[in-house]
Amino acid sequence: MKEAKRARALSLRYLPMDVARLVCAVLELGFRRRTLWPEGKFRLKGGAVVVANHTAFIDPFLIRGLFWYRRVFLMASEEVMGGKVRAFLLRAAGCLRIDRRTADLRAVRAAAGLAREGRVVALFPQGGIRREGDVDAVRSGAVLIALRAGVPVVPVYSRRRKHWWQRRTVVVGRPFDLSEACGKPLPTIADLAALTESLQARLSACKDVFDQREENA
Amino acid sequence: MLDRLKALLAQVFDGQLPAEGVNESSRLIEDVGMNSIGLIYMAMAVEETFGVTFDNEDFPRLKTVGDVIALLAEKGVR
Repeated sequence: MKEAKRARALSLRYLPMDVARLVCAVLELGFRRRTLWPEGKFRLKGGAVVVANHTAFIDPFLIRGLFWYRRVFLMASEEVMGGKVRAFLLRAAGCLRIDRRTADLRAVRAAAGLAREGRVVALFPQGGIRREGDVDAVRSGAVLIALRAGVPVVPVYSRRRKHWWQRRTVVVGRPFDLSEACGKPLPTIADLAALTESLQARLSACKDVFDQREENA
Repeated sequence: MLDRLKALLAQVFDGQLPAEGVNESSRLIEDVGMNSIGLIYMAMAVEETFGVTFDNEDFPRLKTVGDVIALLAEKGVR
């Protein structure tokens, strides 16, 4: 197991992705990120699905910077991946294409497969940018991926800065295991909806911590 | 095969299936109440139960329960 991990860590296959990680980490320094861990600081180990709200196009950099010590695969919409050259580059950089307009079984299966192998998959479950930072209309895809992979979900909340010189605050919630929350081998669609609501509640809790911090500041 | 599929749908859509039950002409979206995630979830459950593999290209033709059965038959499920 350790040897497999080591081989994976040193594999040249991920060289473009590692270069992208480095670029993200450098660019992310510009945000002067301030990270809040209201439920205790942790390091991501094993497979996980990182779920974040999306307020600006630079958010993927933030997620990569936050978990700089892991290869984070990002789910990107058809529009972002548009064009052959861009799609090729983004795929090499660790992006997974997802078609939001249809039932994209292939993308869900690929993401769940990666998470099951012990990778980190990040996505924005609201399906697009919400500039005001609202946490509503969270879709069930992230929950489905985490359930299929049997990995925890990590909620992350952030909001765009009012001025470019301000620091960017990020709130990271504790990972929570959905299969434990559900406890059934084959959850029903109602369970899926309930778990999605629970995920939305956890993102909202992170938003509350963020708002509190902003008020105090 | 219809009975096995009905049992699976009943398990996945526990308590949310139409009162009159599901038959081959039941429409997946309008009658069973599926959305895109529901379709994916059903496909994954069907894959596990029947040992087949679905692909994105299969979805546009899946309008009714009968279509699912026809596709399963095409994939060699008896």
